[in-house]
Formats: sequence, C-alpha cells, structure tokens
Amino acid sequence: MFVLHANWAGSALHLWGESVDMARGEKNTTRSPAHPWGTTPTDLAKTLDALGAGLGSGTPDTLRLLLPHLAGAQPQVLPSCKLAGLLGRVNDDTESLTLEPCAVPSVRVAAPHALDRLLKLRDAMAASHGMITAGHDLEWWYALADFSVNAVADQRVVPTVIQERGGSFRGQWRPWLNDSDTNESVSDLIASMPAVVRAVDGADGEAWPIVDGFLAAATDSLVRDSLVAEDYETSIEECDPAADPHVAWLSGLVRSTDAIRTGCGGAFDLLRSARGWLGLLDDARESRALSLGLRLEEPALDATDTGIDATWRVHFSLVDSETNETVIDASALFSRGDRRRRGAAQARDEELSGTLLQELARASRIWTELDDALEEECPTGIDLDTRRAYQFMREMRPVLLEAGFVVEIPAWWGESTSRINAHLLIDSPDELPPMGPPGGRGAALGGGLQSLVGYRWQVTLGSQIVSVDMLERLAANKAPLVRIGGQWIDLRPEDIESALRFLRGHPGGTMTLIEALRMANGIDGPPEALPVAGIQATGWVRQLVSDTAGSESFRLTEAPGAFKGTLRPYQLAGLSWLAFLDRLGLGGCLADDMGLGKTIQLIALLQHERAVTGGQSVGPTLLVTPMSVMGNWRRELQRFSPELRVHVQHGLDRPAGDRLRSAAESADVVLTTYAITVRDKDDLQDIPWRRVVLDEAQYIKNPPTKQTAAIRAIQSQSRIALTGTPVENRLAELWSILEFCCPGYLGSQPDFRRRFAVPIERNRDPKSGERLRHLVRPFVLRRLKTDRTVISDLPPLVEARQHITLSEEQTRLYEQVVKTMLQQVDQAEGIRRRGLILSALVKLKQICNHPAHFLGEAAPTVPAMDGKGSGAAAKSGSKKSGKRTAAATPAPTTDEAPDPLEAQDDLAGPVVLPPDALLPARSGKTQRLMEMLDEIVAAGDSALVFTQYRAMGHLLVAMIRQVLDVDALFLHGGTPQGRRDELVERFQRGDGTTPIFVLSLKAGGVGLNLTAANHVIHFDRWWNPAVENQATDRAFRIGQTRTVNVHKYVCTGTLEERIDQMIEQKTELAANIIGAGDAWLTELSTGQLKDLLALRRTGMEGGE
Amino acid sequence: MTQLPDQSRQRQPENPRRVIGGFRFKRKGGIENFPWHADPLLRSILTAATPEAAEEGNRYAAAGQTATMIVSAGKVAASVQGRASRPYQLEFHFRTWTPQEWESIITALSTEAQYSARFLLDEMPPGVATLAQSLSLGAPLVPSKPGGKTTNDPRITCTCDGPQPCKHAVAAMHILVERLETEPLLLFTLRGMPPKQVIERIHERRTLSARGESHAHPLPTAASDHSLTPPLTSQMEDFWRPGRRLHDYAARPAHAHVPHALLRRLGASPIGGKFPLVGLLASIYDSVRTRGLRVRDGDPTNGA
Repeated sequence: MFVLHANWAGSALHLWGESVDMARGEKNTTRSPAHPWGTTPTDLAKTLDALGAGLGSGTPDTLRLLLPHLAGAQPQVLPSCKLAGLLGRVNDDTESLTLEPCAVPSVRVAAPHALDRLLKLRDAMAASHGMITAGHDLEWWYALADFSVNAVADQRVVPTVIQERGGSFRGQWRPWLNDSDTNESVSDLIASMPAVVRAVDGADGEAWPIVDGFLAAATDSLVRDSLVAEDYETSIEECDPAADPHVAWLSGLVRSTDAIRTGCGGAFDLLRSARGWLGLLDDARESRALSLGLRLEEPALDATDTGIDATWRVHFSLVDSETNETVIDASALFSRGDRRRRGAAQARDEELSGTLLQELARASRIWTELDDALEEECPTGIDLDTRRAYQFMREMRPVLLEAGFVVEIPAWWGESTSRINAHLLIDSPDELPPMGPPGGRGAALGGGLQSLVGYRWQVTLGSQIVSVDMLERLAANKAPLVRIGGQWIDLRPEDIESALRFLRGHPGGTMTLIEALRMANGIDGPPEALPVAGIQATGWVRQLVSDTAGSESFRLTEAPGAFKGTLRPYQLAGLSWLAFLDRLGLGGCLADDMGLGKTIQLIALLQHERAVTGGQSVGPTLLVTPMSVMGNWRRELQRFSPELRVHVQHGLDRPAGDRLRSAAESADVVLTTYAITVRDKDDLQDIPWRRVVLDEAQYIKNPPTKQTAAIRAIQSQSRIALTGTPVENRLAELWSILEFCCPGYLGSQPDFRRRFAVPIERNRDPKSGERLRHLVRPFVLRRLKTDRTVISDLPPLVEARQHITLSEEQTRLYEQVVKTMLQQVDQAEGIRRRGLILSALVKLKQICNHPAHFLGEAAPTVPAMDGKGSGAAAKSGSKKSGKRTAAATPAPTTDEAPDPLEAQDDLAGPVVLPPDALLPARSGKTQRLMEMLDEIVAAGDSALVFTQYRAMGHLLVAMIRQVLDVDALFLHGGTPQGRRDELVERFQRGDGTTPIFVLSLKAGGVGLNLTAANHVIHFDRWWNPAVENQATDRAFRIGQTRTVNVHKYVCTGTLEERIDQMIEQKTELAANIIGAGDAWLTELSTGQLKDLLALRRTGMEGGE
Repeated sequence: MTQLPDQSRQRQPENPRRVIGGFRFKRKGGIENFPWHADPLLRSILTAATPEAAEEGNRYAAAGQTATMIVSAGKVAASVQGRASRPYQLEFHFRTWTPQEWESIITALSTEAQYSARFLLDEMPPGVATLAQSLSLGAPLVPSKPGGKTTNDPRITCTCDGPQPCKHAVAAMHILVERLETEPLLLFTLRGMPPKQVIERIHERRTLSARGESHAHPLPTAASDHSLTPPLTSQMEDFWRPGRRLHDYAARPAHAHVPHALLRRLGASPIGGKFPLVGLLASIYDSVRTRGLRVRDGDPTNGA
C-alpha cells in the first residue's frame, strides 16, 4: 500500500509517499532509514509510473519536512493519518507529540509542469483502485489546482512584471485575487491548508508563499502554453521591445520563455507603470467611502409604443459604499450651488462634487460614453437611446459592478419573463393508469420512463405566445430591446435565431417521458442558448413534475387499514409519493435522513398495494439489504404488516431454481442480501418481480462491480432505492442509484460526469447544480430531520433497536463457546461454576461485538498466555475471515471483572491493530455501525458511540478511521482529565472535523455535556436501562436543539436479545437483572442457562 | 521711438544687454568653497576657458545674463544674453551612464541603507563618488572635463560659435553650480536619471533583496492575514487533513463569468507603448478561456 503526498518547496512540486507492505506487517522492508514508512526514490518513481506513463518523471530529490513525532529520547515519526488508518493505528496521547525534521525522498516536478501533473495524477488515481492511495493533503491540492484552472477559464488572470533578486525582469500570468469574493476564497484555501503542506523545513510554516507560488506557476503555464500553441509571438515579431514598453512586456508574456527583452532601465519603467495600471484594478470599493451610483431610468411610454426610438437616462449620484444608500443625487448636488450655502456646508459640497467627478473619471475608463458627461460643467446624467441602454445593461453593468460602482436598472432585466423562452407542453391523461384488474398477476402499470406523452413547444415573449411569423419580423428589426404589450423584452439576436430554428425543427408530436423530462431540463433538445423556462403539463405528468410531490399536500392515499402502525404526516406523504411513482411504473429513490422511517414507509407501500387490489397478490417484491439489517427488516415486516408473506432467501439450505421460483411466487416479499443476490443471480433473474427494492442503496457502487451488474440485470416492473446518505452531494452515488431506479435518465456515466459532476464539484457552478436538482426532483425524495414540516412531527427523542444479524464467524464462535461452557458447567460447582459462567458471558458479549474482540486481536498489548494468542492471530494475514474457527486461541479473560481490558490503564503509545481485526464484515454490529456512521457523517450529523469495552473502543476507532476515513475521538478510563476536557471541547465545537465520539460507558456515561451529538449508539448493552439512559442523556439534555436518535444494538438470537426482551417485558427475572450486575446468571440452572444463552437460529445467520 | 535701435547699437560693444528676471549669481562666498560635488565643475571650466572668457563669464553670471536654464537627463540647455540682439543658445551635454552602469551603481547604493536615507534628505554623501569610481563607470559622478569636443564632459555647444568654453558657457556654469550646491542630487540627472527615479530604484532593489522579488501586481489581503494559519505545533493532532474551510470554499459559488471583465476594468494602458496592447490582450483572453475550459472539462494540458 502506498500513500501519496505533495508539497511545494523551492518553486517546485514535490511528490512523495509512504509505503507499507500490508501482507508482511507494518513497515516496509525497503524503507529509508530516516522514515520508517519512507520509500526509496526508485520505488517512488516506479509506483507513480505504474499509475500512468510519465507520472513519475521528474528529478529525484530529498524533501525536508517537519513532521509530528512521538516524543522520546529518539523521537519516532508518526505515519500520516491516512496510513495510520490503513495500519489500524490509534494514537490518543497528544502530550507526547513533538515536531521534528524528517527527510523523505521525493520526485521534484518543475513549476511549469506542476498543474498538469496534479490533474493527471488525480485522473489516474480516480481510474485505478490499486495499491496507491491519495493522502488527505492531495484533496487540498486538487482544490487549488481547480482554482487555478477556473481562474484561467474565467479570464480571471492578469499579466504582471516581476523583477528577481538577480535583477532580471520577467513577465508572468497570475490569477487576480484581490476582488473581495476571490480574496475570501483564497482565505478559505489558506485556512484549510493541511498543516503538512506548510511543514517544509525552513519555510517558517507560512502558507501564502506556497499558495502564491503554485497558483502563479499553474496559471502562467496554462496561459503560456496556449499562447505559444497559437503562436502569439508572431504578432510582436516585427516590433522592437527596446522601443516600445508594450512590446517589451509582451515579449515576456507570449513566448515560451518569460524574459522581458529590453534594457533594464526600460524594464524598470515598465514594472512601475504596470504596477500603476494593475493598481487600478485594486481600486476596490472597500477603499472609498463614497462610490458613484448610476441609475438607469426607463422612458415613460404608452402601452403600444415599441420603444425603439425611446430615450433613456442614466442618473448620477453618490452612494455610501457600505450601505449602498444614496447620499446625494448629482442633480441635487449641483443645483444646491445656486442657493447660498456658506462655510462648512459649501466646503462639504465642493468636496462631494470633487468626489463625484473623480468617480465619473474612474468609471469612464470602463464606460467611455461617460466622457461626454465629463465635458459638461455640472454632469448629472447622460441620455441613451434604446440600443445603448441595452448595451449598458447587458455589457457595462457587470463590469461596472465589479469595479465597485453601484448600478441600478429596471427590475425586469434578467427575469426570465423578459426574455424569449421555450416551454415544453406535455399532455397526459388526468387519470393515473389503473392499478390493474383484480386478479393480480401482471397488473398493468404505467409504462414508466418509456411512456409516450404528447408534446408541443411554445415560444413566449414575456407573457405572449409568439409565432414563427412574428419572430421573423423581430429578427428583421434587429432591435435588441423592444416593448411588446407594454413590457420590455430582452431580444438577444442569438435567442431569436435559436427560437426560430427550434420552432421549425420541433413541430411537436409524441416522445417518451424520459426524453420529455430531459429536454425540459435543457439536457437534450433545444440548444442551450434558448432558455427552457420549463414544463407545462396536464394530467399525471403535471403531478410528477409539480413542486408538491412528496410534500404533505401531496397526499394521494391514506395508511392502509391492515398496516399495524401509525404513519406520521410526512411518512404518509412519502407513501403517497412511492405509490404514485409505482402506479406509473416509475422507480424512485427515498433518501430520507436516518431515523425518519424509510423502512416503515416501504412496508406501508407493500401493504397499500395489497389493499388496492383487495388483498390479491400483485407479484413478489425482492428486497435486497446488507446482511446486518436483514433481521431488522424481517422483524419490522412482521410487526407492521403481519399478513405479508415473507420468504427469507438466505442460509446454506436456501431454495434454488424452481423451488426458489415457487417460494417467491407464494410470497409477497423475498428478503435477501446483496451477497446472495450475486450468488443466486441466475435464478433470481428468472422470476417476474413486481419490484426490486435496495436498502442502503449506496452499495450499488460506481464503477460497476459484479454485484451492481447482477442487481441491475434483475427484471422487475419497478425499482426503489432506499438510502440515508445525502445523494445530491455525492454525485457518483446519485448516478449509480438513479441508473438503477430510472435506467438511462441521467445519461451515460461519462456524459453525466462532463455535464454535472465536473461543473458542480470542480467548478462550483451553481447553475449546473440547480439544473441537476430540477432534473432528479421527481425521482428523489429526501426529507431532513431539520425540515420544518418534519421537525414538528418528530418527538425530541427517538429510540430504536437495531436488530443485528451475526456473521458466520460470529455464529460459529458463539455456538462453540456455549457448548463448551454448558459441558463444563455441568461438572462444576460453587465458585468454579460461577467463574465459568461469568467468563462465558463475557466471551459471548465479545463475540457479539466482533470476533477480533473475543480473539484478542484487538488488544495486542495484552500478553498472550501461550505465546500463540494475539500475535498469532494478528500474523495469520488471512482475509477469509469466514474460515476462522473457534479453534484459534481466545485471549485470556479474567474471571471476575466483566471488562478486563477496561481495567488496563497502562496501555501506552499507539495501539496497532492487525488488518483482519479491522474488517467490519466479520461482525454484523460493526458492519451496521459503519453503514450508519457513514450516513450520519455524510448528513453533517454527529454521534456518540458507547461501548463497555476499552479494547472494543480502540477497535472501533481504528475501524472508523480505516473504513470511513474520518477521525474519531476516543475517551476511556485511562484518559487523563486535561485530555478529557480537550476531547469534549473539540467535539462540542461541532465544526464537522470530528463528528464521531467513541466513549467507554464507564468513563463517558456520566457528567459530560455532549449536546453536539444528535445520534447515540449503544454498541453493546448494559443490562441496566438506567445506566444506558444516563449515557443517552449526555446528548439529550438542556442545550440540545435537535431530535436525538438513540440506536440500541441487539444481536438477533443471542443472549443480548433474550435479556433485552426480558427487560422490555419487565419480567420477574428482569427485576433481578437490573442493578445486580451479572451475578444473577450464576444462580441459574444449566437448563435455564441453556435456554438463555443458546443461539436461536433464525435462518439468517451468516452462511452465504 | 526711433532712439531705441541706436541706443542698442551704441551699447553693444561695451555691455551685454540687460536681462529682466535672469538667473543672477549672487553667492556670498563667490566662487570659493563650493562643496566637493559642485566645485570641480566650476573650477574645471574656469581653467579650461581663456582668462578673458573666464572673467567675462563671471561678470555675466553676476549680472544675471542667464535668461533660461533647463536641466534634463544628461543635458542642460541655457540661453545667455550677450551683446547681440538675441540670447545665445548653449547646451551642456553630459556623459550619461549606460543602463548597465546605472544598474551596477544602484545595486551598489542599495546595499547600504544610508544612501537612500540621505538621498531622501536631498543630500549627496561623498561615498557615492568613491563608489562610482570603484565601479569604473564610463564617467565619474562629478563632471570636470568641459570643452567642445565629443570626448569632453560636458561637451559644450553654443550659438556664439566661439572656442569652448565660451564666456556664455562659463556664465551658465556658475548658475548651474550654484544650483547644484543646494540640489546635489541634480548630479544624477546630469548622468541620465532623475533623482526621484534613482531613489525609487534603490528602494525597489532593497525590497527585491529583502523579499526575493519585486512585482507589478498588488497582493490580496489574504496574503498577509496571519490569523489564518495557527502555529504548526497547535495542529499536530490534525496534521494531514484539509481544514473545515475547504467545504466553505467548495460551497462558495464561483465568480460569474463576465467576458473580459478584468481587461475592461483596466481600461486603456497608461504605459505609453505604441503597440495595441489592449487589443492583443483581448484576443489572448479569448484563447486562454478556450484552453481553460478544455482543461476544466478534463482534457489534459500540454504542459508536460
């Protein structure tokens, strides 16, 4: 594994890396002596070249950095957080860190190639999922690279002159950063610069020289390359740079070399006058108290006047630069001179008119029409004809605004109603397609995205529909601005052209829904120059594209009678939306925030369709879920819709072929996992599914995997995806999910990337984002807990159990421990019996948490009894965790203490976890936890994760880092007080850098105020609800403003579930349990013990 | 009315015509005790001139016969009223330092803060002459070889066509030297560069050596906002990840594209070149946008 980093040092980009041979252990064998994870220069270049041709080229060099080290007599350098995550290292002891110099081999890429190399690296790394990973710092570098490309693409670059220490002068292209919004962006980039980027030894930790150096190099190389390619040099070839400073400057700007070809006296003068010129740009608004205001007044005309010969007037005024309020109109200022004003008032007026004239002169540099006004003695404004007024609004205004002037124009300008618009008119029947005749099978659904709809195009000017004839007349007129029906219309010649072309080419007819929706959002069809104002539809299409879809007013249905639950209003709206899409044969993605009840809405849909058909079967729904939540689904289906027939397609003895087919046909729901779907894909593809539903649909990854392909290949009448991640911000995920629900809707992957992903993610283009939101709106419903309509429905505290299915490895270990214990207990008595029971209990709880916890892999610092224990497990290196059996030596657990590891307060230094321990899939709980935390973090929420075990806490923190690549805070019994306060403070800051806080129940369950969290996860259970509630109250207390979701993890079929039920049902036994620790267990008979502890198989344990 | 020409004809052989408002040499100490930077100029011209010319020039100077004097880079143009009806036009052409020579003396002057400090007080430290000498420039700081030949410094031309230095030149030199006494930095002008520019260039050169470069573009305020970057030691726990503000940055909508916005804000070039710079920049900006959009949409650059 190779982690790549970048630095800017000595006017060049340095690429360097950390490498580790995962199979062999933590350190690389070919490491450089200075850095335990360092690479050799050859390895570095080879690794980069393997990624793409030429990516490793450059000069081998040595980069000296100041990196965090573990303090000590011989400070030890720490791995980057990316590598630490990969290695499973958890370091929670900050006091012992020190910053020390460290030399790493690097590939030095000269400044002119820096941008190009970064962009190519990013593309190459996105395309390969190999052994090379980007360090977190690269994310920042990519943002900086995009910034420079955007500066060039948007013409936000300026030429400059630079004199170097040696005295020589050169020309340079650099981004213009001084406008206030750009300056803010640069501040953001500087403030977010990862510390390592400015940790170049000897550079004083300064950020600006790095940003400045890279941006200048990047923009200059990009601009210069294009000027050299277009041979701009020929335009100055005949001219003598020594005679003409313009030519001298250009000689340093348009050639491949940047030297300014003139004597140094001339170059010096050039530097000074260029400085004066560029300084005019910097003449920003902030620096002046008063700015010139230009107010365009439209002519007063009667309704029929076309306004072609009208006279407009621009009025001058002075405006307060801070508040934008007019201080005085020029006409008032000059007319005041007539009256007798004396002394201070007169002096003040003179000063004001001076300022006004100065500002006018400044503005006339941009807008030369003002020169005429300056010839007057008392300029109060200028008159413009319609053509020039149009030019003022369209061309001058944006530039004048940028230069800090205040420009006021009529409000209709820029409104879509004042331009030529195209409207797509779609006709569809009012009635939804019927749900299908009773009798079930083959119930007719709408044709989905392929439904044919009638359409026409309409071109409007303002509120008027215009014909081809009229457009032709307007085109002949060539007036850019006309008045039609008393309303001014911005008639761009290019708009008329495309409107004409368009109307002639698209007389109307029928097309598919997918075509219509894409066209209405300006994707296919009309050239982009002609704005598509949108869709005007009748019938069901109107409902589909209306803003109300999914809102509470969009309530097409009531909760089905047989549904054994209550739907909150927003859930009812969600059900309506699902049912509506379903009847049209359309798929959709329900992407509500976690905790809003996606499961219950989907179950209601299944019940609803039965109700509509009078209880007739409509064909089975295939419900694909991650293994960890399958049990939860089954439980919820049973609870809310007991009459639905569920077939669980899971386990080694699951049906295949015809047996599967008939099982499916006699079921309403077939519940299965992603893994089984791949394995049974041939059989599953043969079944005529009513619908396929994907839970945690983000599992459909991009680029497509075998799993994705298998799932997409399953034919069904409709497809629904459920996910809690904010899909609209994860564009690759959005595409994959919609490609499943609405195949073809977002276009091909490369097309989508070009049209949306790149503009939105790299160019921060708000228009593309808006277009995409519009496009997907009919098919993605996402409500947030913070939405006003939702929040009023939510109670402040929502508790839910997460029923977790054990993995195969967990199942085997669990059964083995129970079996051994029962045998031993039978033959033992007294204290020994008690000890055996207690130790088995601890083991079972650990197995429920994660096999690595039980096997001791999570705590390599605990000495192994027989020399084979933790170390052996750690070194086995097998990724096929399923093959692991209980034969591996379990780590010793002390007999009395319920948590031997929590007591180990002397764990010092970093804890290193072997790779296998970090596989979430080995445990249903950890797998579920990763899914949930991923959604929580993506939604910008934060969570507390409580566990009783410190070792498990370490394991979780390492896993979160590795799997989610998010930093998690960790507080346990051994955390010193000062550090504790610091952790709490960091978490409460809520700045999103540390959204996850893992706490040991004992150390973190009381006293702390952690209201920044709105999710509380009880990863393992304490049999005392009061203790758990106390822990929950860390987040659910005064100061909490959001709904707190409490998730209690319970492993299905295990003692966790049994005890949970007893407590829930307040049994007599439960009274004993609560507050009594685990002692009560030891008093049980062997039979009772067996009943309590033995695993109740549900057919859903791992075994795929 | 008719007498005037006669009078003038009568006076011509004896005294020069009187000039109203001419420059008059009225120094208390006479021609003695001029400071080091002015003295050689006067002394050398008095030596080089014939005794008659020297004496008469001295008289002319005291009588204020120098009607005008314009000092420009490397050149002093003066008109001196003699006995003829029109003033004589004379010019001193000083040897100017070449750009390379100026570069070397400015570099030398910038190494010591005292020079620009004294220059700002309008003083000429004696070290400058020594420095100029040590750099073996084409001419010393203070010119002292007046005459009519091209090798002279200054080379004198006068419409009197007499042998140089003529009395008019001697008269004008008195005035120039008197002015030099209070404005010693004029010497730089005589050598080809106005003192203001010398000071600026020294300043420029000093910032250049302090910062490594000097440039024409202003820097954004973000460049000097040190509050954005806490000390590295306070960031050890989060050493590798970009900070939260990267999200703020990503969420900030990009600048709306306004064609040629910066160029139009700049307006016409004040640089004074003849080449149509702004016009060429306009097509450059178009080319650059095309390329930028291509790279932005994923085409590789040709940089490698």
